[in-house]
Amino acid sequence: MATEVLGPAIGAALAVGLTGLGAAIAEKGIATAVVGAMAEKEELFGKGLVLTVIPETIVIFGLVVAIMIIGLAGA
Amino acid sequence: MLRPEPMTKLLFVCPETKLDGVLRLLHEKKVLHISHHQTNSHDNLPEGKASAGAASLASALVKVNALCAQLHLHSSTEELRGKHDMQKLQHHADTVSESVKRLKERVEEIKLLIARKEEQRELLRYLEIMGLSADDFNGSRIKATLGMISPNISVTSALNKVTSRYHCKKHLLEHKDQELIAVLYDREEEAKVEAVLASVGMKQLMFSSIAGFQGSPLPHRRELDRELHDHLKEEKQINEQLQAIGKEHGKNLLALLSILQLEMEIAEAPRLFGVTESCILIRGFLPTHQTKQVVEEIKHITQQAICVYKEEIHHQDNIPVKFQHSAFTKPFQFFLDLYTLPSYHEIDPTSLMAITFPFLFGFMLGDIGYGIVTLLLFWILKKKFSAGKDLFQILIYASVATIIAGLLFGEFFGSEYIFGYHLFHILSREHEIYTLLYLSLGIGVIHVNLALALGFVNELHHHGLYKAICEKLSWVIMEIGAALAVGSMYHYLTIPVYVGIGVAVLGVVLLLLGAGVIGIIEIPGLMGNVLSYARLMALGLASVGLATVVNDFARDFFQKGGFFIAAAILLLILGHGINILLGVMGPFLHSLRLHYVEFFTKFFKGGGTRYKPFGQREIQTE
Repeated sequence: MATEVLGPAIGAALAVGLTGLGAAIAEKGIATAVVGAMAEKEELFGKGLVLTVIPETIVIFGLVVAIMIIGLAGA
Repeated sequence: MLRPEPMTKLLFVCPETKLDGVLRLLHEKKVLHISHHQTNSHDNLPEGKASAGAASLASALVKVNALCAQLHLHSSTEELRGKHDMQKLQHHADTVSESVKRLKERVEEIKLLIARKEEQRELLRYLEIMGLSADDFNGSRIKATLGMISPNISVTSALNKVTSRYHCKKHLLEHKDQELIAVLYDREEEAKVEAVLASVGMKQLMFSSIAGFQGSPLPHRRELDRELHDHLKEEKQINEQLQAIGKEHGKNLLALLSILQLEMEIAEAPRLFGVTESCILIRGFLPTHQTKQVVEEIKHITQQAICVYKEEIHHQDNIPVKFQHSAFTKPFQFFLDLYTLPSYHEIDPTSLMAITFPFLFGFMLGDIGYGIVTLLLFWILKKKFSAGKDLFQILIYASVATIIAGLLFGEFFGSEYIFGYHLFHILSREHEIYTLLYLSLGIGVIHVNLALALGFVNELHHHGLYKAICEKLSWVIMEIGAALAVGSMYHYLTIPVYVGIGVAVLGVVLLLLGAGVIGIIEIPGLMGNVLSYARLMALGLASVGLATVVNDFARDFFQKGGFFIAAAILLLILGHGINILLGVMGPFLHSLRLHYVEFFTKFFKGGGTRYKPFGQREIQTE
């Protein structure tokens, strides 16, 4: 019983955790460059924000996968 | 609402003799966005030059600007214009400038005197602390030295190694991490003692500024105190005089500044125009509905001596963008200013954002209590800080949307109950996660397809029906095909699977024709775009989750009673406070992202130029 619960739980945690980590690493690099660009040209804030948040989508995918894992395990 | 204000491109061919009058009228009307004449343009005419008086005007402008800054004069320039005699004002300003210059010079002198006397007073204070007098530094046999040293260093042990004929006294200074040290020693031992003091890091104080003082330092210090008091009093009086000058002459100075700015703009304007031997060519854009009236007025003041041609607007023209927004949608222009302005031929998405942004924000935060708190907060902030009023107005709309969404979700500070009564809800976010997910993705499908529809209209306007179908409608065809195929596979539809696949393939082929291989590569991106809307559910769940945890902990504390009741109240305030802060930041940024990344990329290119008519000033005088 414990394994039945633990397996999907670990899978869901990995899906969210690893995607979060990946997005964080990607955003770190992008945000650094954007702050540098904004120091030169402040108007780049909007475009900088767009570029910075692009990797965040992967976390949402991770979350969807995690919900699906939990849902399938429950079913 | 969805298009910028229509513009008309005009060319004024103006005789040189009439230029001044025309420029003055255009400056007053503030309607013509001047197109900078390029020397290498098709008519190959040279650029004009600034008027002869521009240099002297610039010099006068700099002088008056500096005078206004010295007198701390701030005002809107618009109301003061055109009522004053410039020469009289300039003469007046010269007189004021002389007085201000004299007073400012005296203030500088006083400041130098104060600095010098404060230094002298400090040195005398040190002498007083150590029980020394100024004469001790001029003795024939004994020499005295005074300085600062770190409290951890032992000077005496270092000095003992080289001489015994010395006297040392220390005093720890208040609020300083250094000790004041005085060393009196035999002048014959000077070289050795100085070397030791330098080696232990003593910073010697220089007494040249009090060289003329004799005897006990106390009377000198009292005299300095009196003098400093007098200097400060004089400085205060001069500053009051400057304030009075500012009050008395401020209006005239600002009027002069305003007139000089106007004259300067008129004098410099010819640099933007093309010139022939006797004519000036002014080319620019103005709102179509104002064209007739402005042209008539210009013709009237020039006695019909000016020729005005209406030119055809080409796609490559840098046409200025003037928004047409209602009071409701205007604050959302903030998002376009942050990103990029739409070009003249594009759809302006501001009005759509005025609906979709608060909707997405409200869907994510969705709580009656949080909505009321943020509504009050942003209403107060809007009243207090006029600088960010557009942003706060947007957040007020978003807060109203949050309250409405909260009513639909039946949530009040994360709880589904108020005082024991279960709130009515259409969707419980806490318990119906899958419904929430599908709803989020459904919103994504609608939002993305709305963007594709806008993209279709833009393409139709720019490149015609074929391109619009191939580049934008093809995506919708693909979506329909995929939906039909999936519906058939799972037996929701009775049509064969290959019908759906066929429709989807048709969409792919159209896309290939419209956007090439790049379009095909982007196909998975569409699914990514829609899935990205799952964040509507994710942020909502996070907000509800945190609020529930806070409420559960607080309930346990309340049940324990006594001291725990206070702790529970504190926990509720802190917990919900943090959640509201996160709840505002998260939905704001994510809603903005969904617009910038998922929505705008389907139809919006931007890069427009802001409409800035000749004579309109953005920066106010300071």
